[in-house]
Amino acid sequence: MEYNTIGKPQPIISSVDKVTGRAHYTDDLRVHNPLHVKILRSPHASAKIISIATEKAMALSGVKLILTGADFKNTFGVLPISKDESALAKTVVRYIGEPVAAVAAESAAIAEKALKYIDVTYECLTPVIDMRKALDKTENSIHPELKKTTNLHKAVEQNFGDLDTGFKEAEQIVDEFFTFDAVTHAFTEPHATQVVLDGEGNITVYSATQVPYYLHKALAEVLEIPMHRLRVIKPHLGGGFGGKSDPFPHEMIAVKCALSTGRNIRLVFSREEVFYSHHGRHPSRINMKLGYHPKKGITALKGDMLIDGGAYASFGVVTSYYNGVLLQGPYELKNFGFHCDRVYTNKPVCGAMRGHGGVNPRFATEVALDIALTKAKIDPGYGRLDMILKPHSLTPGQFRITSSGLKQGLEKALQSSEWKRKYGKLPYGKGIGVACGFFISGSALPIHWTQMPQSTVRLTIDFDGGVTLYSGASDIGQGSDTMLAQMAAEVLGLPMKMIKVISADTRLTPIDYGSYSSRVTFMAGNAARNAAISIRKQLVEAACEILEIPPPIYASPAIPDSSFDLGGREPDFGNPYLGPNPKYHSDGFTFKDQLITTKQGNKSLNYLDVVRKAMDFQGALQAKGVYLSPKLGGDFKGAGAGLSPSYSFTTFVSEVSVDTETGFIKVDKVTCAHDCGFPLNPLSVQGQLEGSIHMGLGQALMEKMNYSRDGVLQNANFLDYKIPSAFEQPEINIVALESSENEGPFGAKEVGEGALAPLSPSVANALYDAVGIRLTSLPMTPDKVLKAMQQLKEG
Amino acid sequence: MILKDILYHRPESIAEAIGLSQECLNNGQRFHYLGGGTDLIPNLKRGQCDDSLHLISLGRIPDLKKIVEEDGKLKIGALRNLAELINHPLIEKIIPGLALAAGKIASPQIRSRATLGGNLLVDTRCVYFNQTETIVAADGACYKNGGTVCHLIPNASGKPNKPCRARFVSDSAAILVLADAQLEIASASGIRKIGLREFYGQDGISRNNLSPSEIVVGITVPLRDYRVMTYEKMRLRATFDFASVGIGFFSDGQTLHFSVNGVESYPLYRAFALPKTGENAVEGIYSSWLQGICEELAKNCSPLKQDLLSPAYRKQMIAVLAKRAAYKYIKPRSLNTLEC
Ligand SMILES: Cc1cc2nc3c(=O)[nH]c(=O)nc-3n(C[C@H](O)[C@H](O)[C@H](O)COP(=O)(O)OP(=O)(O)OC[C@H]3O[C@@H](n4cnc5c(N)ncnc54)[C@H](O)[C@@H]3O)c2cc1C
Repeated sequence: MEYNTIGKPQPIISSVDKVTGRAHYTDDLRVHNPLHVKILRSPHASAKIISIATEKAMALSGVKLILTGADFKNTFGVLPISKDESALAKTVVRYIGEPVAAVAAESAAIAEKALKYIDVTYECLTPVIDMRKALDKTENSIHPELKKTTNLHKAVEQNFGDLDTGFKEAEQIVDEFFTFDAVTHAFTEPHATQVVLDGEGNITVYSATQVPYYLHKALAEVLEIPMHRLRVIKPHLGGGFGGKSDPFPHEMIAVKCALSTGRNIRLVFSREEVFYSHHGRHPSRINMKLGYHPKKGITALKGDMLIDGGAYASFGVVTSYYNGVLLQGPYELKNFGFHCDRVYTNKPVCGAMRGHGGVNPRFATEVALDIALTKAKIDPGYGRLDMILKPHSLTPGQFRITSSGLKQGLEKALQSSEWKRKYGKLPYGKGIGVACGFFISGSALPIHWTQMPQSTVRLTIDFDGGVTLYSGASDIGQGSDTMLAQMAAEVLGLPMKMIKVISADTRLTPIDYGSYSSRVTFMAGNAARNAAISIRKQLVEAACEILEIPPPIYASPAIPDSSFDLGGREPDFGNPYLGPNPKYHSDGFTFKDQLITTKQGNKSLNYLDVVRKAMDFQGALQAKGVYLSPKLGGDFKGAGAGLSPSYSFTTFVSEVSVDTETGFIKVDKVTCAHDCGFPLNPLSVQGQLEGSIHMGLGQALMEKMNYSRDGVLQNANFLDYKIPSAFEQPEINIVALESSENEGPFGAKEVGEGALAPLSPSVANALYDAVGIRLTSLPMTPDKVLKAMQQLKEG
Repeated sequence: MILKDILYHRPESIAEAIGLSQECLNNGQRFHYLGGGTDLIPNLKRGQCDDSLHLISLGRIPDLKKIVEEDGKLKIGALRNLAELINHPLIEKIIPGLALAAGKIASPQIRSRATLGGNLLVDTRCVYFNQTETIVAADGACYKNGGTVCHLIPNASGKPNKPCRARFVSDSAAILVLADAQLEIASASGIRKIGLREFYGQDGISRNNLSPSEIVVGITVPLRDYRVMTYEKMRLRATFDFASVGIGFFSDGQTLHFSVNGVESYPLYRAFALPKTGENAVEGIYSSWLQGICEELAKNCSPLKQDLLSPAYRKQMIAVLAKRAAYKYIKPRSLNTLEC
């Protein structure tokens, strides 16, 4: 199929503004005469707040307001089942850096100074820092309101098939223990919120958020203001990676300050505060037991996870499930189970981070599998080929695998990296390793239960023919605005420049849940495409009128592929009219280069003439498109976790050089095959893959939140928290795949997250090939490498 | 922390600068000389800085910016920035090891501002010192932050002499001690000279023997053959990072000179005379001898937990890097015979 704009590299909209400094991020906005807000943070990991004396601070000239926990009645949390956080700590503090009081003052310097004049008396308690200790019995649990005798937040478990039999069938059983330090998103733009009031009681909140609608809802609930008085706008955003996908205390504080003072508010974080705000990847301890048989593949897989949630719940329940359910791909499995305990500790909160919940268990599985294959003397590259999930199949937990380009991807990646020539044959110190993965392409379940479509997009065309597309999706730097514009440009045959995207403004744009779980391209993309198709129908009608031919009869919307094995269940694809891929190409016209031409090519009309005709008697053209995912999944406990209308698949082959005297690992080259269905914009696919590799490399080699025994984060800055530099970035070899997803917009699936997880295990497996050691803990710093090499030498 | 109430001065001569600082001293006001500010400003920003502060910029003083070869010496002005040093033909000709080390400092952006003088005077670093107010409050202030404890060596707490083991991190100093460079220092009473090896003390707080209003004018490097000189810098990230361990190496044909950076509170310097074996002093050095001195170098150091890499590992790396540095120039002739 010949496309107009999709499948061709499109520079990200506003990239020029971003690199020239014209793009305004939240911090860049100059709101009129704001009060500046600074937050006093707890210096104790665990303590009772005995008293807070604010009088001295209030007496400073320029100080207008001081808030404490008493000013906030309602708690919140991104998941409705675990709203355990208050904007400011009430009776206890639970981590170093937790907000305790907030000052609004005429200048940032005054606000900062005032913080020093607030006297908080604490009574220190013994903090729980080590996640293992969190399972001990205690009378002083971190969240007494849960009335539990330990600091366990959530235990989840699922079992499918028969693990015992599975392990009995195995020829190799690998039972390994893995540990993972905490890592954080390290996005460029610190959190910032600004609030503008008008005289009518309307409150406009500009915030660096991935989830304007969840924020909208949370602000309304916590501060008890009607939603219609609130408007949340996400300006340009300098990276999220999951770290801006919760409603945050500072956002509540900023709006509360505005309401209490009647003034505009400006609140901007320092980098240190970003580290406390965290919500990054859960540090974890994972036991992975894997049974393998050369003929049967993975005969059983059992994961036991302990994950450290820090002080509050955030996405924790979802994370706990993802730790387990994301193990049921990309390999065929019958006997599979997991147990995951999420505990509270006195450290900054963990939440969602790129590859949410799936990254650490993926490392454990891919390394365990590699051990099994090498023990069985089976090539770990080609050996994996026999085990991968087939397209059109169901996993044990009833994930519907629609399309999968994994087989092709793995084969191509092995070929392109010259695996056969290299694996096991490189000189000592050099190695090659492989790992695979898969990821959801949009969580099918919204966080707040509703039957609404997951995404709605509105399109209007006015008399100049320009298209305005309204979407609630948040462009967080990943390029979703560009993707949306491509949808309209493609369907309507217009240049990208004629599409203007207005996004993430709760007053103007229809609901979309936000940018998380790699859902935007699939869901908002489908909605945008459907909206554009709806407009196209109006244009086709007008064209037929001009040409005096009868309107077309449309082929019925494609029912999604029903050819796969549903294990005896009835397929349910929801409302097909809202569903994917209405066949607009059966309308008898081609839309290209602002010309609307009949399929036979005999008659051609100018796009603008058709638009004008269509507007006769009705004015501006409007259309709405939605996406509602088909009904998915089983009905056992936790069945909803990880359900997605489709899944992406990834293979990484990494080549490393190890400095055998110092233990430094240099990743020389990464060959990457990622099945994102049809790549709508090869340029941003490439960008996402390069970014995933870079981020994966950080966790693999050097990133670690360095907590002291007392829970002090010792590296809350970018000098000491080490994200890799350009020097560490390997040569990247992206292998093109021919793949298409029936239900995706023009065949697309996700590319933002899935490609992160397999990076670190591919490096670990390459390390084994290079020097014969298995590292089971991240990051793989040179001291660990050298120690393991010495242990190997000593036997 | 927002810096405010700063009084900024831009004197145009050394005398004027010293005059300004003397005035501050007389009036009991805080002041700092300002080079590139890449060490000072971040340190001020996280410090307690409520009272007013004078910053005396040295950037406009031509006398601090010379690079000349004169009287059998190379003289480098303190206010030359590191990017300039890396590309300067005289440095390339005389002591390329300095350009090499300077090129491993921080990042290109920082090197364009950071000065040589500032680098030689860069403050010592510690996980408990280079921290924000919240973290200092959480830990309790250490000696170097004005408190009464040392978190690094707990039994060093409560001592009246406030011993401090914050790390010395200047990469250029690690090279210049090898060359026995001299500092030229100006004060109200004139110019004094001091060898870099004597300049640094052993304590992380007092650091060196510069008194408050003194200005480092520059360094002088005696002209010798510095071709057999190198700097090995180990850090987790290949750029934008201080040394976990830095090893300077220089051989003059008679003696092997080593320095260790990033571990002790000063640039540790050790020289080992090449053993005389037979006719040629260079030939016949046994690799076991080299191994021995590298291990001795490591023995002289006691890394502490100030880095993401473990102290034991860093200690081990001192020997590994020292050997690596030496082997760049000393080639084994046979299995255990070496040759420069
Ligand atoms: C991210 C980052 C990474 C860094 N990495 C490294 C690294 O890898 N290696 C390294 O060595 N350093 C590193 N630094 C520290 C610093 O950038 C360098 O040491 C730099 O050379 C300091 O020079 P400056 O001119 O900026 O010093 P300044 O900050 O201007 O001054 C430093 C100190 O010296 C005093 N001073 C400066 N010049 C004179 C003078 N002529 N006479 C008397 N007193 C003077 C100042 O008062 C101050 O106390 C790093 C800094 C940052 C922010």
